[in-house]
Amino acid sequence: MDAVVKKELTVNQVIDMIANVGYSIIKHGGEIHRAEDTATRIGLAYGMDQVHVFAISSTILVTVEKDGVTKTQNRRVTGNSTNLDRIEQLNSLSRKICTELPSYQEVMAELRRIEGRHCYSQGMNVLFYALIGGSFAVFFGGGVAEMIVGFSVGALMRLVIWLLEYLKSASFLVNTVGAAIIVTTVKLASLVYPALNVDASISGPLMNLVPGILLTNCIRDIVSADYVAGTAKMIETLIVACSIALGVAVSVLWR
Amino acid sequence: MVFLTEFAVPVVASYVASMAFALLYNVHGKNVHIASLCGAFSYAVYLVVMQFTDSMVIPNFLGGVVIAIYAELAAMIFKAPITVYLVPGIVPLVPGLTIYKAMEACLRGNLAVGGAGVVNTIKIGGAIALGLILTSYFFRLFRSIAQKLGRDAVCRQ
Repeated sequence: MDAVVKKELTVNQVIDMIANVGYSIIKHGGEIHRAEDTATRIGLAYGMDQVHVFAISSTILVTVEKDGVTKTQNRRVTGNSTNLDRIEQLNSLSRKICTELPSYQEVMAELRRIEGRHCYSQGMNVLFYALIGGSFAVFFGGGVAEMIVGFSVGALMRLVIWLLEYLKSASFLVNTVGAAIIVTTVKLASLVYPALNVDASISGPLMNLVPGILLTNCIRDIVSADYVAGTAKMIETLIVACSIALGVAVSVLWR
Repeated sequence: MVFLTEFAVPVVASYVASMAFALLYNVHGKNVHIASLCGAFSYAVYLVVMQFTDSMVIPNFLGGVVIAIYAELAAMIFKAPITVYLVPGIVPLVPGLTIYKAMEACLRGNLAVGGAGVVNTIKIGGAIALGLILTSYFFRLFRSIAQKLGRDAVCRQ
């Protein structure tokens, strides 16, 4: 049974499938290791003689070989954003591919279904930013006042970021403007309410921008020997940190 | 009262923060709460370990280890990729206040404080990442031992 299904897929179809699955995993913030591993497994499951996958966060390169025929495909990955729901769905899809060996059309239909899955709305995202701001303000030693400030500043910042993203602004500018908004509004609030813990109220909403997960993933990539992917993330972390620092520099005006 | 302000409030706040990040990264259903518990639990361990040491590295390292163990087990039980629990779980340990204070000190020209803050950030980030990676290597080792023994190893990637 398995041999029949395997024969139906051409090398071209297999490589296309592998490249698409790998692309989606990287685009939605999966680990490099996961993308490479999944792509290799799928290729071998369909009976390819050799599968070679190389991925970094901006590209994936796949080569398969079967009966002396070698094919290579590459996908450029842009606009990466973490979407753990998609990663979860892609994971179960790849598990299904490896055990059931479905047809090419089935896998492509499934990929399209995953790409079309429901995401939280922009309004909900405003709420999430506000929640992150409020909870981290408390977390960093704030009280009720800091929580309220962090909550509303987080929501305000998300609205402005939404506008900037709608205008297709560069992410560097988005971070700078976001940080400047946080610092400015919190300092203004501290003029109205002088007892405000400024450090806690600023760093709470700032957690929305701080590249902490990026930093941790970068070190994880480097330790697990994905040096090129890790170094690229390290530079990205530095650039994000610089863009935030530029926004925080507005605070110098209050001295 | 000290318990309340020093322990209970931050742990609850870290739960909410992890939950908000999980939702922001589009986690659905029961996984939202499982991932948020990962954050709160690891932060509770971090706070307890903080009582016994002056070092910054050890509590963060152990926090990373706890996150990784929790996430590996949750991934096995609920058959989801480990990232779903790992990413929201890391959030409370991320040294946001340290980063902010370092940035501000650098901007004000206080390079001694700012430089120390940057080094501390890298130390904390490195400690968390090493905790995560070391634990995941151990789990990989256990998995291949289980496979070698011919047991029906849990299918995951």
